[in-house]
Amino acid sequence: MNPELQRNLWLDAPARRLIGTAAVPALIFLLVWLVDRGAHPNAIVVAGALLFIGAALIWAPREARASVTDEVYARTWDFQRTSALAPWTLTWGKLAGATARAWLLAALSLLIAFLQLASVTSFSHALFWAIVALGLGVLMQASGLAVGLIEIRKSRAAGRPPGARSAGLALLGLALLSGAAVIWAHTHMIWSADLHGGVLTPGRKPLLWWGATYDPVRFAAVSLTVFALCAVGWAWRLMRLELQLRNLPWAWVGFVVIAALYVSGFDASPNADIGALDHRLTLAAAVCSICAYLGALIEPADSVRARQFLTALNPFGALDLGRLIWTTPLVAKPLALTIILFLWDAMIRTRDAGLPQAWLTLAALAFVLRDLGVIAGLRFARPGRGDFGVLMRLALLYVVGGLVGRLFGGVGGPALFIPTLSPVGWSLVSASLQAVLAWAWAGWRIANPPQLSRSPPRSALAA
Amino acid sequence: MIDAENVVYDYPSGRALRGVSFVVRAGAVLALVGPNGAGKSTLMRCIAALDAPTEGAITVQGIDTQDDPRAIHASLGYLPDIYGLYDRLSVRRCLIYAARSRGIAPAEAPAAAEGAAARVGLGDRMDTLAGHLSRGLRQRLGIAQTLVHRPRVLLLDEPASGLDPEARASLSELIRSLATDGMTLIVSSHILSELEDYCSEMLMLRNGEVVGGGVVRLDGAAPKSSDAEGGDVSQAPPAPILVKVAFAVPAGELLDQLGALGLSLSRIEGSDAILALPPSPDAETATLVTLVKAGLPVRSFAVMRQTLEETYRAAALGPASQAATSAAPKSESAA
Repeated sequence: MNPELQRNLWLDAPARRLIGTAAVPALIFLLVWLVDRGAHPNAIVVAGALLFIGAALIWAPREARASVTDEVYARTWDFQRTSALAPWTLTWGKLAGATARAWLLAALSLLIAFLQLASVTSFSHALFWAIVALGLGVLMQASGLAVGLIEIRKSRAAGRPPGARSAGLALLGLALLSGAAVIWAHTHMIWSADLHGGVLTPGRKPLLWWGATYDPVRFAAVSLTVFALCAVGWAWRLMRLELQLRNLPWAWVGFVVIAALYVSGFDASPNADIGALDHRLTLAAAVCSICAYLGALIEPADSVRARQFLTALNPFGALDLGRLIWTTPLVAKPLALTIILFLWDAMIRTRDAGLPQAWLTLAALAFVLRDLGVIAGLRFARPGRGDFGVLMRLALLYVVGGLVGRLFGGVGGPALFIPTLSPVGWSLVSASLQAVLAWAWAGWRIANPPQLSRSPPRSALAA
Repeated sequence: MIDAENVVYDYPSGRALRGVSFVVRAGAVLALVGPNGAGKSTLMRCIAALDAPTEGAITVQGIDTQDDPRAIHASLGYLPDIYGLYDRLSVRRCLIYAARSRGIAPAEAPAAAEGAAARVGLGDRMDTLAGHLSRGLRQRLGIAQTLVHRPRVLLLDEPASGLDPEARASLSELIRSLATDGMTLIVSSHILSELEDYCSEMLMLRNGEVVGGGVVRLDGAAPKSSDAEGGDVSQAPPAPILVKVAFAVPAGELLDQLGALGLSLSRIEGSDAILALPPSPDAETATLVTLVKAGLPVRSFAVMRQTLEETYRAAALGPASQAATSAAPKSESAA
């Protein structure tokens, strides 16, 4: 047996606790049956779904995250890092072992709900929802582990113990993304829900993706499965970094490209006031921008590594390609793709919709660059700052900027702080100036890091 | 065995190691000493491949820590200064997990756990929860976990910190027995007296730099030929053997005669002369024979064992401080 799985089972899943965990869904389903007496066939399904959500989408991700952060608190993380366990062994040992009780509860709930749903609708329908549930569960659980590993890396760079806020935000973001996937699946199906009769029947409307037609149910199931695998791969790669192994840099670029291709594959409505290529480029640029923001937020604010990157880049001397590859920040690659896609989109818009539209696209790019500069500046100014605080300050820039612009600049004032079409060019000029200032500040912050109150990678932080 | 070349390590707030170079020979017990904040723990972590140096390279048994960190992890044992145990697991399960996670086959893990426990004196507490052990026994369990896979290199960062005198003594005994088995050990501490009993070499760090010329031999033995393999860039010459010779007349009157015999006088203490002999096995005998044959009134002849602190001060701070130290009582003191 995987030693890490074994250890987790020893600690967290002895037989007595497993029996206690299994008794919970049994009691709840019994209670529901006693109250409902079969009047509502969906009651058992809803109870099972709620239990599954609680166990697989909330409890298990928290346990997965704690499976690494608790090692730091207990000062056993270095002991694990110096083991001979392969990164994948450690990853799945923690994913399966630390969440064993949560998954026992989730699996029992899902099984009962599945059997009930299959009996009132169809086996294939119940199977679809089971796959969606399992996909979401694995996605969230692996993301929980990844978030824990990110938090460890960030806390080490910041010279503080791992916290909970940034991880909570990341989990929230992932939950929202997951919810969006489910909502998307919902909007591509026709539902007839009779709450009294308790019948849920998905309709089927063909899905257009890259010009081809797909069954939306299968498409959603496959998509979720792929996302879940990506999340597991993400956790594994972060585990490799913790074990001091180097990751090939192409996987992150590959993920960004695939995500951009995936999202831009959804065909625009025939009635949309936008060209097909323009539509796809806008979506792809948006995905790359989101990945750039994510990269800027999740990577540790490590000024040493940033300086190593700049030294390796060395525009005035010999290029140190090896070091450049290993020290390139996560944000750099999606940002490069973002710039390419925005410029391409601006060219298309110049041709099809006129220069003002192109300027608006370039203004959006300039605001992305400004935002990334602000994020870098804020994070390097105080590496321990939570992600939520950074995002709030960024949001305030738009809100307060827009209000100030409106108060003192008249109708055109907001254009200085929010990408707008009119007055033509104001947004572009203003955002470009702000981007230059933001990056100058970030550069100064990287060159002059704050004095930390304690040396970062002490064993106390577990590094 | 361990070869560090120009190791630099930067924290965001400053440089912790500044071009550290040294070679540790196989079978040595190296005392890594220096004041708090000198960079000892950072260097340990770099050797253990837990942190990558900003510049420079470290090889352990010929394996570069950055090229193959997992091979380094598997091949050595490392006990940090602050560490934890799985308090809700028994000693047996802690050690079985340690063995399994360090590549020992499932069938062999229980025996390896028993062996490691016996070695550190925990054989009779296999079913005790780790959380119920005393501090000294926890330290033993921590060490047992690091040596359950029989590594050739063991890194112990401040292992005696917080231990009572009895536990320290038994820790010293354990380290001596590991050294006897041929294990290469690096033991860091800022309390020199606790390293005195078992260390054969010493490396001094101050402000992230090696001071005192590199690795200092404490046993007076001449370097082995294998020591030169790493280029020996920082290998300091072995320390001389100090001998205290008491004469029937004031030693000051014998300066010319001692000089004529080719003996190196370190200092005069009343009627005693402190001679510095070359570190060779027959130096003491040969010197005594020389003195007697020359007809000098020798009353006693005793080899002076230089304390670790004296060696540290001599190498790190210079001869002036050595003289001051020699007059000071040899109580436990922080370097």
